[in-house]
Amino acid sequence: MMKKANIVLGGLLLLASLAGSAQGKFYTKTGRISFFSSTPLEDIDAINRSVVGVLDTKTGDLQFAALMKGFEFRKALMQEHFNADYAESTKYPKAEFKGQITNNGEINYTTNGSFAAKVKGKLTIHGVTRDIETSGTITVKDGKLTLASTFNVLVADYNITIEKLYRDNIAKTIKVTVDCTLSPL
Amino acid sequence: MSIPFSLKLTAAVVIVFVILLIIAILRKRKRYILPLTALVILGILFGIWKGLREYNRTNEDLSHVKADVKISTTELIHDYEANDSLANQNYLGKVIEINGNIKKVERDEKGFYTVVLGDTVTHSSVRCAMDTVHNADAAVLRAGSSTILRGACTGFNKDEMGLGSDVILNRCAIIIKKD
Repeated sequence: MMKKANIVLGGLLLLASLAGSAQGKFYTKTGRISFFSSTPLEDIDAINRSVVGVLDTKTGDLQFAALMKGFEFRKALMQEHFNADYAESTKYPKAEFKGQITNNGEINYTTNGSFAAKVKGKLTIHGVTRDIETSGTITVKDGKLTLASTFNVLVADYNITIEKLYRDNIAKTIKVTVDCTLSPL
Repeated sequence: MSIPFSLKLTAAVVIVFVILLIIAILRKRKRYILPLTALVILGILFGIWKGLREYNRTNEDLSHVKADVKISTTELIHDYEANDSLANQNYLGKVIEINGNIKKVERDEKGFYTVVLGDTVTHSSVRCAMDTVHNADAAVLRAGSSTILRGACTGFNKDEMGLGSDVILNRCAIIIKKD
């Protein structure tokens, strides 16, 4: 009786460890997120190449984190402005997204191809969390997944205020582009 | 965001000259008017040149910049894991010169290099995203050897996703290669 119980327990533990193992999870630590602001006066763009991201292909759970100081601008002055005045990167060092791929069942992660993905979740920037919904594509190629999406973010939604002096230089809506290639964990 | 000191000083000097010029005009001191006008114009031109230079300034190559902090990989990871907000006060945005063992050298699909420092026992690392001008230096680095790098600290990614925790350095330059 004891032996049977042990075997069952052992089997359960094995199953639990298999389920708990990272099977089905994909990750990156070199994901890219860029943003673009366009006004008649000037265009501003910045890119972060050290974005961390995890996708659980079984559940569709998706998570990204980007350090604000990791956004690089063409001009150093803009970068300093962004960190000191707008993103307040010392106070709010990280931007995060936590959400799900809502049509996860329609994506075949095992064969090469490109799939339309719908994403829903919570985006935290500048200490403010907001619900967002967007779409993108997931490209499966040789066991790696490339996630691509573009969406707009309203600067005012995240309590970021732009002084009058620069109001014509910075757009009210910022275009955010995600381009991350995830490898199996 | 503050205006650079040199620009403030230029503006102050120009304002003083403008005031002197106005006084000279009002008191009809003709011999001062021309030199003061020239000084005001020169001051304004200098201000414009300085301003444009500041506006177009690009991020510096950190191989030429003096480090704010010199530290080992183990120590930096330890400080962040012990108290990340305190560590941010000491390291965030600073130029860090770091020495340590190379865990691996990663090249992403777009050709950007990241040198991962740390020991092979723990999951924690210091991830050094290379400045593209130093890509060639990173390409020859091998896992298992040690190195000294200089980069700007952009913060800490706690192990919230099961990927291990990482301190991130950006715009890195290799200072010394060791075997």
